[in-house]
Amino acid sequence: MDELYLIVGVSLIIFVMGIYGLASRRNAMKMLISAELLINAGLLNIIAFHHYLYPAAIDAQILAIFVIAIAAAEAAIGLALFLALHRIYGVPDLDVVKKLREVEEGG
Amino acid sequence: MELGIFLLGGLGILIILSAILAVESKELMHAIFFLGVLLVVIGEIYILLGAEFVGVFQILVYAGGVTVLMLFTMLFIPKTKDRLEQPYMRRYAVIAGIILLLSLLLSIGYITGVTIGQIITPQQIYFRLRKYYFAGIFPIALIIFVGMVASSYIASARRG
Repeated sequence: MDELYLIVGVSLIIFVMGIYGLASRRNAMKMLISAELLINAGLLNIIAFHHYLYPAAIDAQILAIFVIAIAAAEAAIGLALFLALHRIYGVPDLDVVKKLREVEEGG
Repeated sequence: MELGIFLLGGLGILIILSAILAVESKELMHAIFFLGVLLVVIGEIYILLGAEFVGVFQILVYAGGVTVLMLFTMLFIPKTKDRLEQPYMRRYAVIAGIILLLSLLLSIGYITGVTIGQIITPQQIYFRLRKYYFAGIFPIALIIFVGMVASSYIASARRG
């Protein structure tokens, strides 16, 4: 059971780092990386609880596979947005993009 | 069991360090590299916990697919290609790859005998998936397809 606490602690730290990255970074790629950290923290928790508390429930692993598949699709869309931002505005920084849009709409 | 908690602790420290470096790195290339290390190590923990299929899936799809997609996207950004071709990065990448491969081998229960509890085989997952979750596969496939089409449309967007 000590191992469960260890894994839950590690996943909590990854989750906190993901939240910190989402809150403090404005670069689109950094925000995408932080979102991946959040997803992986949740997945680690799912597998750890499945293994230590409900070892007979295979459904947790199936859920993990579904989440990984959807997260891959999410990453593809996020990267396409990153490329589009870079092509259209020249920077992938969301604050700069917001200011540029305000200037364009104002002018 | 002793070796198991020792391995889990070592992998946990590696995960925490990779997460901090992935968020805090100034260079995007380094951040993506540390994200890849983190994803591989999480896959190793899955393998160590007996979820071997999920671990292999994680390493193939996440660490292999998503991270390489991110690196490939970075190649479209100016000035990235020069940094990639600097020789010192190649040396660090080879060292990191060897360390990750060794820790991956250590995580496999057949080699060290430290896998804790029951190992769930891919056959068990397949039968469960076919019996109870067959209808769920189609929405997932549809979401991935829509994501693929949407990402190709967004990536080709032009100004105005």
